Amino acid sequence: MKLLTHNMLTSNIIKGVKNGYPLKISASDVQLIDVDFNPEFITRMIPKINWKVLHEAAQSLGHANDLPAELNAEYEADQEFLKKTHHVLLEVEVQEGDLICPETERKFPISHGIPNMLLKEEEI
Amino acid sequence: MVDQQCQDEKRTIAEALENEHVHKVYDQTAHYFRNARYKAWPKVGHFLNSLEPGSLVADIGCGHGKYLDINKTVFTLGCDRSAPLCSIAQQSGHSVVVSDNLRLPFRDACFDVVISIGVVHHFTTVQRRAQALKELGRVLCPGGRLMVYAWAFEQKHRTVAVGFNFSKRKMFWCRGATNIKSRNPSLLHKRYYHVFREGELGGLIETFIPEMEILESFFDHSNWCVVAQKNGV
Ligand SMILES: C[S@@+](CC[C@H](N)C(=O)[O-])C[C@H]1O[C@@H](n2cnc3c(N)ncnc32)[C@H](O)[C@@H]1O
Repeated sequence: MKLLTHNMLTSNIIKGVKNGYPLKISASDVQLIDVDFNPEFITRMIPKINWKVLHEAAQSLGHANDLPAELNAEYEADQEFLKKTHHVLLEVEVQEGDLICPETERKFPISHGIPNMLLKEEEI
Repeated sequence: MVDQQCQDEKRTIAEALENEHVHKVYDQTAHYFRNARYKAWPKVGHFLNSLEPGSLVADIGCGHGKYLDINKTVFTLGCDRSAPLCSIAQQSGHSVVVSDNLRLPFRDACFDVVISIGVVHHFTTVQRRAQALKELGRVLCPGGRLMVYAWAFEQKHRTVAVGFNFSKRKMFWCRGATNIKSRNPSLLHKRYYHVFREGELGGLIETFIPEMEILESFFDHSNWCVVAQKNGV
């Protein structure tokens, strides 16, 4: 699971859960993969993501490095910044672990890089 | 109270039916898709290739993932109820999440584009088909576009299961869509399909997702296709 995917996931599909975002990540295996860097793609992706959530997720996995906590207004021209963003969004992969609902602590397993967000009958 | 009981009972039947005749069937046949090269339908491919670079796309009911890497300039997230199919897609290098179209685990308005190719026909009641479509609309951002394909009634070949009679609790099968009485018990994996009549898919979208405007409807590969856009910029 990439942190770009994590940025969109919520557990508010569980019956009664109001605030399911962001999900906490508990990872036992994180891998770094190589993805071609495309500055235009990253520039267009930034406005669509929740920056604070991305930063915190990267930090919780120990991969934030010196990614700024706040978005700088002139990020488009900042290649170094775009590269760091590219890395945390696309190259950090959680292979094994859990996504944890912030309200109920319900765990959704991540196995072989795939989060399983299916609910049980009584959670619907 | 009685109404609620009826609803609950209907939901339980619908779930059991979809479990047996949709989810199990896909899970059991998933291995056929390993290393398979199925061709993308050209109109779906064309739609995906026309998207703006940097678009965030969700393919809901992505199966083994044949539409996940058509356009390399966008990010496409696949989502399917079948864990074995998701795993095949993931092994081809795609990003996938196991989840249910009826309850998508994504925040509101986070995707620029959503596609649903051959999925909503697997829901056994009109309420569930509507709920599945509503979820697709919910996760779309204002101005975002939706492409849906679903099996058409108006087609000649192929053996499909067409219906479930809730009062008799029986499924009926047909060869082609016109003769609903003929059965084919030799079929190993019987999948449930609802076949859509002309205008039905667009009608559901108009009724249940009023914030969507239909841009295009057409018949393609024995399916009805609707392309719609969510209001706002
Ligand atoms: C006909 S296949 C289409 C796969 C892919 N869209 C394609 O065109 O190759 C239908 C897919 O819908 C999935 N599906 C069925 N019910 C679903 C549900 N409730 N939620 C998510 N996916 C579902 C199945 O697992 C299967 O992969």
